[in-house]
Amino acid sequence: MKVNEDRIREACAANPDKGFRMLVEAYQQQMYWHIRRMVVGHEDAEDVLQETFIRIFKYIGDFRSESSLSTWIYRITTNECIRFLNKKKEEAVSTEEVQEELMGKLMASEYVDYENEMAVKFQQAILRLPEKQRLVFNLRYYDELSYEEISQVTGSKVETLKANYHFAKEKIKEYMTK
Amino acid sequence: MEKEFDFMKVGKQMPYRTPDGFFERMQTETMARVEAEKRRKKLYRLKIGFATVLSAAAIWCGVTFFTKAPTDAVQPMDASEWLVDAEECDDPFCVYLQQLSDEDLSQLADFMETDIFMSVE
Repeated sequence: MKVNEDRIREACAANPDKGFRMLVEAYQQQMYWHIRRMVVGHEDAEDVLQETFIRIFKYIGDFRSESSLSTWIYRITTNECIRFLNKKKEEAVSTEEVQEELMGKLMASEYVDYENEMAVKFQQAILRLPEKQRLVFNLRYYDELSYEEISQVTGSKVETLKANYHFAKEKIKEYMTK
Repeated sequence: MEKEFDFMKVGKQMPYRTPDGFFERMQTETMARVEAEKRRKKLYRLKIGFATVLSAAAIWCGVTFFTKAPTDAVQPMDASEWLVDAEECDDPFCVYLQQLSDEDLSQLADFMETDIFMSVE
């Protein structure tokens, strides 16, 4: 769906409630899928999405046009995902334990289509990646963000992101040909 | 040689699903949560405002009390008024007091301060 950012921005300035409603309608699906790919579980994705919207509502007045509205939303969404995963890490013994938990959610969920074996295996390959590579891969591969946009979202250098994406693809290829 | 994996085969398909009508429900719930958040913020602002007014009132009372109280409480006594009263007094106790020397008065005052029956406090 093509989002008219200018219309949303104008609406937010004139009537914040109406503008925010338009924003929710326009972005909720891509936000949800981005979160879902990061946190895996549907219920967790739903909670993170709600928190993200509350945060966006709180700070929409502070939004300046230094980046696009979409990039700004991706940054807040990504930060919420990272906050969620960091909380999991605090509760867990190790990072690997969090990875295993996410893998467990992928392999035992009411909201996963196990008949699509290749897609499940592809997600397993993505989940095996280190968190940063996984984030970069998802933003580039699924959301089709440019490296410059990913750089604005993550605060990393474009060269680092390119390297991360390359390594991620290589690891996925390796896992998928096993 | 092993054939390389082709990303085009899987494309963007994902195995993830959502419950039926999830996005419609999500939108309604999000707007409801935002409304609740607005009410909570409004209530918070009201509480802060009330607390500020209350604090200002407490400070005003404190300042008023502590600036006025000492001037009222420690009014310099005009001893001559007392002496005049004592001289004009016909009461036997007054007469008795007039007859006492400064040393006797001092002792009497000490006694009245320490005696539990005589002490006024």
